[in-house]
Amino acid sequence: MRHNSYTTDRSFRKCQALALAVAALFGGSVRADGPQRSFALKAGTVLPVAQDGIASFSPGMVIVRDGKIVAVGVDLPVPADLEVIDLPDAVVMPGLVAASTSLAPEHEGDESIAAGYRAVDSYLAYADYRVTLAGGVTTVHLNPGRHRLVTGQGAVVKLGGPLDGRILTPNADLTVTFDEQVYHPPKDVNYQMPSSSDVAIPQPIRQRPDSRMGQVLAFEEALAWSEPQEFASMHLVSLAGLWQDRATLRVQVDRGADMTAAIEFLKRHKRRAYFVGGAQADLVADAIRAAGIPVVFELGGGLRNRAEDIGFDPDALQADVDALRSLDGVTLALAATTDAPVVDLRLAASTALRADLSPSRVIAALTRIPAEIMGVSDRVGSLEPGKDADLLVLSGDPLATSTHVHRVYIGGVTAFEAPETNALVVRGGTIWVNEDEQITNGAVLIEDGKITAVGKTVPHPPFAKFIDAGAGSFVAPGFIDAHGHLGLEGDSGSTAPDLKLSKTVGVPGVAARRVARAGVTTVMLSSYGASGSGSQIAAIHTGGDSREARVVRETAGVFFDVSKADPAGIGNKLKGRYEAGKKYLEKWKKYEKELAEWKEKKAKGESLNGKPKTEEVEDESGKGDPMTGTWSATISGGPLPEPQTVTMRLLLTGEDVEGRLAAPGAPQELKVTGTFVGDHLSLELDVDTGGQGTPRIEADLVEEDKLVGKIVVASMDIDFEAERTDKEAVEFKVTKRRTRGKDGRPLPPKTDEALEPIRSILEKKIPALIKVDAPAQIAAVIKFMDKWETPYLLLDAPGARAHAEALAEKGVGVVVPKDVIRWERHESYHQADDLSRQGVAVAFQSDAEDAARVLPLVGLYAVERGLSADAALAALTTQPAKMFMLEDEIGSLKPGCQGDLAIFSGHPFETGSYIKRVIVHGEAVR
Amino acid sequence: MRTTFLGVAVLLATPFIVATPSWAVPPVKLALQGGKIIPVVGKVIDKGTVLIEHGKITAVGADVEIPYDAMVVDVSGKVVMPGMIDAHSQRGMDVSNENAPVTPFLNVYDSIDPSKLYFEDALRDGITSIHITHGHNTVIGGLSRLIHPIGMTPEEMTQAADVALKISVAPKRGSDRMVQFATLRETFLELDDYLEKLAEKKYEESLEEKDEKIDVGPEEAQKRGKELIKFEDYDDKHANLIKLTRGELTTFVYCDRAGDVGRAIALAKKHGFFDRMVFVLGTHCYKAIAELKKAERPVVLGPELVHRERDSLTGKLVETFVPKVFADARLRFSLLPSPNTSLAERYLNYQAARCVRGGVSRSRALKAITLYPAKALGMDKKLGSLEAGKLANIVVLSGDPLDFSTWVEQVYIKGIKAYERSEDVRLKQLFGDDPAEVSEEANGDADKKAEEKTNGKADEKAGDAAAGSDKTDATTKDTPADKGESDSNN
Repeated sequence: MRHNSYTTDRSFRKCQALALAVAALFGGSVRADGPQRSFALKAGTVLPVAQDGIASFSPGMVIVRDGKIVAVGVDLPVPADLEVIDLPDAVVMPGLVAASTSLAPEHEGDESIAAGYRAVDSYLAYADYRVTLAGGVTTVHLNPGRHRLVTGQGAVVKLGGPLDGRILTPNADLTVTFDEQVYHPPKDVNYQMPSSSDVAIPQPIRQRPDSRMGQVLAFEEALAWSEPQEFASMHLVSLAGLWQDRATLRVQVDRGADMTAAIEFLKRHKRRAYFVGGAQADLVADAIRAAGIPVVFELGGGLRNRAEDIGFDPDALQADVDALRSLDGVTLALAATTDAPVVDLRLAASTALRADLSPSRVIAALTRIPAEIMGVSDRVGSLEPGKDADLLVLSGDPLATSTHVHRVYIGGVTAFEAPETNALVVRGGTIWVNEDEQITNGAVLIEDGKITAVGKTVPHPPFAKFIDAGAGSFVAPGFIDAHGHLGLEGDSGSTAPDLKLSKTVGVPGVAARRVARAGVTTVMLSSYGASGSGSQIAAIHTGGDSREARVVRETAGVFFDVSKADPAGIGNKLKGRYEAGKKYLEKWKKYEKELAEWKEKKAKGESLNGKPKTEEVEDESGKGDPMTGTWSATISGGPLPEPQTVTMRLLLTGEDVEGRLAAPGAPQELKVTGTFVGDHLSLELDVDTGGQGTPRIEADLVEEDKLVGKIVVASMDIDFEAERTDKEAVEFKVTKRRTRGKDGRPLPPKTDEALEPIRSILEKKIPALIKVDAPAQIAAVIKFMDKWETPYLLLDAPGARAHAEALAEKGVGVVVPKDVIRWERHESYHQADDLSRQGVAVAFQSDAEDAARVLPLVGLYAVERGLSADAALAALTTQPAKMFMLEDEIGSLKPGCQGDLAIFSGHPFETGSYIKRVIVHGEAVR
Repeated sequence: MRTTFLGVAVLLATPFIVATPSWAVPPVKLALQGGKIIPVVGKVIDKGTVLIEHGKITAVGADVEIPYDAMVVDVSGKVVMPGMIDAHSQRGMDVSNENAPVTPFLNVYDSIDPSKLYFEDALRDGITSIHITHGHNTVIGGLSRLIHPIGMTPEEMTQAADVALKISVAPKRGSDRMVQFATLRETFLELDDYLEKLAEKKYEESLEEKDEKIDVGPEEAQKRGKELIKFEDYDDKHANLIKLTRGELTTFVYCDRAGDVGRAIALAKKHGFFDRMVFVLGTHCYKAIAELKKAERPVVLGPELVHRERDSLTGKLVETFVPKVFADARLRFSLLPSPNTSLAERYLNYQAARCVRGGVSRSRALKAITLYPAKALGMDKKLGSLEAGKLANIVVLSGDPLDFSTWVEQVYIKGIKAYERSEDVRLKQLFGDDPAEVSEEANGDADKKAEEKTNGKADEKAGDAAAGSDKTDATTKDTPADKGESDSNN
């Protein structure tokens, strides 16, 4: 490969990153180590924190190959072989670098000059650091301790990613502490083993320092002893070596006096160093600035732990913003105190904004600056070509309180993934809760698909997904298509009264997604036509990854069509169904009453009627179906020497088949039960075969009135062929039904799926949607409904204007026709506008499948024609929800409602505003 | 460890004593006939003969011609397998660890107490070779010794002296990893310093002999003196370390956590003992399986076979059956018995059975208690399987070694019968006069009587409990609570 020749040439080293970037852009490269080590990451915002001063790319991209960043910018071309990870709401920044931690436990060594201890020895590469990674810290300094004058050698390591790249530098520094805690070290005991009469056990040696003056002296003394005569201590050998190699000095120092001493010491020896701590930096800020010493400032704790009482101690250390304020112009990194968990670093550092530090300086102080101070900036600390792909995926502004880390990449490998939460927070400029309540600069919290909070501020559960739609944005409830046919794919028939359309709903397809992306989140799904007995309407979501998420309500209404009927006959047409429903409802009411009585009795401990009761039930269904009637069957083959004829009488109820079979030579008829699904009949014969298994009849309806199949007995097959000789339902349909169970508990009546919806109407739970076409029909419907007093709405109703007063008074809504413009006496009017001004609730419909996608435009047009913007919005949201008695489920942003949101760039009915995002059941539609 | 330097000196003077005690006169020829033979290497022989001559196995097979003058022992109906090997035992000594962190000059020889009941128990459990070594609570420990559990003195018990040196990279008690590694580094730094000074001294001495005066600087003197050093010149403190760095000494390196493994490998490579390193691992180390696989050195797994860890985010308890990880990586591992004699884990064959239940192949599990420890100890030419030419360290069992109801019937060490269950006094005390007669029949009668009394309820319960524990163990869900129960039962 061509670029290789460049990269190996030293004179072209500067071009290396560029060459790699070019190679990556044209996809002309390299091996892939792991599935995740190469990818292109798109994010809402990318903060490179690089030295060139570019604050952010929005939207931005990072291209990663083999765990290294090859390009950062806006709209980079994506190499064809790379997976694209799209995180439109995320902020991506470099992993945080914690320049001071207590991840390595303080060593147990007694030596005051303990330069030989190496913190890297305590690094546990295979430990689970995800709890720390959750705070966004990917690179940490391991500290040998701060309990000795020379504590040892620090290390810089990563907390995840590929194993071979985790130790950035095993000996990053020589750690020195100037502070009171290093005074009075324990006596150094150096046993000689094996000891004997010749080898004496030496006396324990008293060690320095004991005072502020002593600490510098003790250090100088140790340095002077560069060539010890006898092999006394590995630590002195190490110190001499490190001093000679001019190792970086890490001076842990908090007090002003100690800092002054340290600055003097460094001047004397002409050494470079950096300070860690700096609680009293404000006392010596000028000297620090003049000496050019970088500072890793340790912020006060108290976020998680109870703070210590200080009392009257005038010398107590208190790191606070005053000290930070004074460090203007000093190379500054921020770190959490060693007693605070590293996981809180980001939040602790955010509080540094109080010291008037600019956000960009705080972010750099957590990433690039500490990496530079510790000498690891060639690999971590910023997003620049050639550096390790250590990336944080944040839910928002890194310095905002409620921001969380959602994912961490180290070396291109996912090292932390936030636990899956079902919480989503949407923040917007206007939150349109309903026509009566709008919140400016508010937020909505959705949990488990439902809205749980809405307001100026909402709870922000950790790791919740976060969408910030911006200040000008407009968040509306998802739109409702009050009468649509999404997913019926042109099937213009009507559905039987017992059929639930919701059963046809599966994973959303292209058409559903098209509708969803337009902002329509719910469709009141009904068949194109209505059956004479009414057809069920289902409320379904246009998005959602499971049936449970997609179905809002299985039966949300019953669709009747009287638009072709003679107005005089409408009452009778509807009456039959309503009467049957009433009878059915009464049966249930009776049962519920009996059950309540029974429960009451039982609770009181009264003696219960223990006898099971039965009642005779006449089943009227089944006439005119393909199964019911008398069948004459010929059976042959198997064990039968010659064909025989049997008679079978069957009754079909729904999919259940029941009947009797008169077998030749059998003393009595056999009972048969089974199912008829599609064209397949499956029956079981109720006969004792002595453990040979139940004989079955498996047959297919090959043509009308003709069944062909087999009787299966034990392992034998007998051919079965039958013809229907009579279609009349037979006598045995009168069955005995038990109405009471063993302990006297009343048993529920048989459920009739066709009458269940009518029962719901009569219980005022769902409305009837009645399609009418003429004012006279409307009058007939109103007359009928006045008697029944059950909820209903009108569909289309072009002439509704004539009855507007009555409709407004009775609170009957109108789902206005698609052709909204009407003409009366050569004057046009907009039906929705007209009705709503007269106090009639209106809703819009598509009366189509994916054409529902234009509903927002229907609203826009209505506004142009004079409808108020809020009324138009209500006609797409709250009004249809109320009409279908779904106002607790959809149509508004009240807590408890479905998490269905349409996010617009401005008011949805302003011409310039466009839809930004749609959320259905808490999930963003893609 | 009680250390007398006289003892050490005597030992170092005669480093390779191979004792031949008076009792150890084996029958010249011995044939174990008619048993099911599990040779560990090669196929199982359903009815075969193991022929032993002069304490060594000379033939194993179905059709072995038995010499007329051989003593024939009928073991039909029994199972014959090689004696089990404990690859790392800290028992049988008065103390297993020394206070001082660096003690390469020590030798477990000084601490072995042949009168310990442990050795008797080892025989009863079918263990014929024990590698007695320093415990984990050390930085650099002393030399170890491979013994068999019979004999009145450590010399009599010895199979191989000075087998290995012990190093622990996990922190010694009261220490931490930084101090542990600093101590290791310091030891080797001091060794270099010692060698330099010794070389200089030797050069000076050689000049003095010739009555010449020193003519070169110290560096040149060291260089010249280096070649003059003989092994006897090294002092006690350094001699074993020098053998270690020359790769002349097997080293057992203990790692507690997976992070220790990489550092142990780096240390071994730097100081020249990598090629003779044996890992002794805590359960957490299975996470470093890639590094261990690359190193391809023998592994000894501790008695605890299940690693338990809580997921740091969800708090869910995750359990891992460690031997399965090593078996899947095709690494050879040895199993250890638990030092806690009230646990079933004290039996090596029980440990192997757990492995099989946890998904390790039967052959690998059996090798993990016989051949692989022999290999780790560098003794696989003599021990670990029933093959012609190897020492006749043999266990005769009442049934399959991986069956929990199996007894050790006889143990042979170098062809000498070292244990016979029917003569086991302690078993007699435990089970009555004649433990060998605790037969199926007698048990059956007792069971019947118990059944009549309790209508089989007790039995059912016991059965359930057994089934229950079976289930939990099979899925490696045996919790400490379970162990506590079995503890109290024992």
